[in-house]
Parts: sequence; structure tokens; C-alpha cells
Amino acid sequence: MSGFKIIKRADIILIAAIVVAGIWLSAVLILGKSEGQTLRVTVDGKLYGTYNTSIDSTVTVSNGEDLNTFEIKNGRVDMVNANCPGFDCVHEHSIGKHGETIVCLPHKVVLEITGNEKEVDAVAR
Amino acid sequence: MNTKRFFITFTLPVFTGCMIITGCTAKNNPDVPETVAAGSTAVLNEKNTVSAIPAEAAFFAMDTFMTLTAYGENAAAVVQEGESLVNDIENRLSTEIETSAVSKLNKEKTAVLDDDTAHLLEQAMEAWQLTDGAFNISLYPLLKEWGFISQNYKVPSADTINDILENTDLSEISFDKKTNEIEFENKAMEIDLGGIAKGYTSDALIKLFKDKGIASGMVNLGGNVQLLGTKPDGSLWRVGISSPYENTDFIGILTASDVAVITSGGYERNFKQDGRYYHHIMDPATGYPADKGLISVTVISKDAIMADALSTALYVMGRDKALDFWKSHSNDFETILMDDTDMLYVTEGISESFTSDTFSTTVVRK
Repeated sequence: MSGFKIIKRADIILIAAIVVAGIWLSAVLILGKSEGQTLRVTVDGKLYGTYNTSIDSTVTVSNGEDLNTFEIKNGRVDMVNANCPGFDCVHEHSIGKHGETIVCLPHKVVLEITGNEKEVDAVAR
Repeated sequence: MNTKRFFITFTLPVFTGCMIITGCTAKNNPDVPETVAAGSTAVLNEKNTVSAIPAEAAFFAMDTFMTLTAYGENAAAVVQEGESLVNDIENRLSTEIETSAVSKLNKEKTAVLDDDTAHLLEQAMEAWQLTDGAFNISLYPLLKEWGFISQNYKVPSADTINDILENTDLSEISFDKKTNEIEFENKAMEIDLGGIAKGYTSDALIKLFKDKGIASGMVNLGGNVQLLGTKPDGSLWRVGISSPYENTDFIGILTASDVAVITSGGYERNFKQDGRYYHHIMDPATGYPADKGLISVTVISKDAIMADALSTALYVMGRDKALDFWKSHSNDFETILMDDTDMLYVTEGISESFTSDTFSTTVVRK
């Protein structure tokens, strides 16, 4: 009986694996929640930058002479200025939920909210 | 794609699958079938997760921003093909491209059209008749005069508007269905299929998806949304209806599958002159922006071309006429109207699948 081991080497590995997985999963979930939404900005299909919407800031997207300024405030994003002819992007309402976009057609600038929680798959407008 | 989400959706099932296998082996469990079962579950999870990653094409075309999304085998190739299809259609229909079939027609006042364009033109004429003129493809000269094409906005004089309205009677177009020959009897007439081109394009894209074996997908042509099937997990798509107001994101959310969802609103493109706002949805009867008390109109239909035409036409008609129109065509479409008191009117066919957190909703029944 003395040679019988209740805990085998493989079991220790299993327990260790579960603990590691648990810590990793908790970290992912906790960090995921605190990070919130991300604003993804592209110009003519190319990534210009990503911005954390929980940090208030004002950013000017410049591409040659094309300028678009957006403001992040209280988790929402609004285009506040642009030197495009129509100002349609400036007139659009602010965005804050996953899947919402503001588009400046003449400058091919797209502001898109991405994040963990996807409330809608598309926005009809 | 968000890296973290990728980890959760993709890595985690594989990882847990491995753990299940490890667990069984470590215990020296002689129950072999269970081990196999656990292993195959993990493989299945992995497969499901792979197919749940969509292929997407995002690009600018037709003066707007488009995204095509498809799930399944060959999805990446199919959305690429979709993008070239959009470009082909634009080259055929755009009034801003000099060599397009429509531009040539506007210039020469006569043309022999290809089958697709001819068929679309026929549908446009039918929509004009069906809506008692509320949808009209010959308002292009009017939109130019208001500056909605060049974006040099101005309010035209009443005389100018009345003169232009003289050239908007579609019965002055002669069209031979056999030869596809079209002629404007009124030589001042110019047309623009922009009012149904996006519906037509999204219909064509969904057809392409189906032909290529895609069972789940979505096209979003600058806010004109069309859904193919359900989401890969079998759940319905969630479509937010954009709000005209700064402080709310959506009028409400619609859950749906296999339909086009198309919204028209005067808040989308407008300008201000002498303290008044003027928007781009013209009332063909007056030549001025439609002003019948509606703020937003959404049409839901299996037929995207019809949905596109009707979203404009119902906006022009105003609430009462629009709802009467729905009552006599309730098999063909559903609608969500928002009037200038912020009341929503939702037709009974979608009353259970539309929810609004913000606005009061009246269900409209036949």
C-alpha cells in the first residue's frame, strides 16, 4: 500500500493547468470589462489609429490637406470639424455604441466604434 | 478584429478542449469512448468557431461607405467578387460617370439599354405609378438646382422650380420592352436611378451570395442594410434604426433575417439658409423638400428595390397616406415611421421584433 500515490504527477499538472487557465481567464474578463469601447479610425481603408473612448480627447485626422477633427467625451465620439465641402460628417450625431460609424465621404474617413459588447450588427440610416 | 475577443472566441474553446482530454488521460480513465467524445467535441467547437469568423469587404462606392459580410466557405472570395459587382453597377448607373448608360441616356435622350438596366428602369416606372408619383426618378435636374449634387446648396427661385417640374412627368418616357429602346419625349428630362440603385445593388449582392453557396451574410450600403439568412449561430440579426437626434443612438432595434431594411430621413443630408433647414428628399409635387410631418421612415421588405423606393415615397406621402398605402400593400412590406411628435408607428408584422427603449410606439394594424 505504501507505493500507492493518491496524487499523481499528471494530476498536479492538471491542477496547475486549471489554476493558470483560471487566472488567465479572470484577467481577460476583468481587463476586457474595464477597457470598454474602442474607436477605430481608417482613411481610405487604411488604419489611422485606435482610440480608447473612455479617455476624453480631441484628435485631428490629417491626410495631406484633408482635415477631420473628432472629439471623444464621456465615452462618445463626435466629428466636430472638417475642411470637406459638405460637412455631412460634422452634422451626423455622435456615436458611442458598437457598430456605429461616422463617415466623411470626400475624405474617405471612417470612425467606427468597436468593443466587447455588440449591441447591433448593422445600423440602417 | 479585437485581439481579446479573438482570444475568447477562438483560443478558449480549443484550450478547454485540450483540458478535457488531459483530464481524462491523467485519471487513467479506461472509458475510451468518453475520451473520444470529449476530443471530438473540442474539434467541433473549433470548427464552429472558425466558420463564425466572417469575411468582410469594406470600401467606398456610389458616394457612400459599404461593408459586405459573409460567413462560410469561400466567403472571402465572394465578398471580393461582390465589391467588383458594385463597381460594375456603379459604372452602368451613375449620373456622375460620363460613360455610364444613364449618363448617355440623359445626354442623348434615347438609348438601347442592356437587359438589367432596362429591367431596373421598368421597376422605377412601376414604383412611380404604384406610389402615385411620390417616387420619381426624373428629379435629377431639381436636385442639381438645389445643390444636392454639387454640395453648393441654395434655395432656387419659385419660377425655376416650377419650370423644372414641367419636365418630371414620367409618362413622357417611351419604352419598348421588346427592344429595350428608351426615349425621352420631353427633351429636357433627365433621370437618376439613385433612389433605387442601392436597393438594386444590395439585391444583386445577396443573389451573388446565394449563388456562391453563402447561407449567412449581410450587406450594408451606407446604411441600406440587407440580410441573408440568420447569423451563423442561428440567431436573428440585430439592426439598429439610426436616430435623428444627437442624444440617442437608435430609434429602436429590429431583429430580422432575409430582408432589406432601408431608412430615409431628412436629417441625413441637409443645409440651412436664412434660418431654415432644407433636406434632400424632394416632394415631386412641390419641388421643395418633403414636409408632411415625418422625420424618419424605415421600410422592411424581401424586395430591396421596393424597400428603397418606398422609404422615399412614404416619407413624401406623410404619415396618414403612408399608413393607408401600407394597409393596401401589407403583404409586400412592413414599416417604421417616426413623426414630428417623436411617436413611432410600427406595422403589425414587425411589432414583436422591433423594440424602442426611448420612444413611444403605436402598432398599426390592417
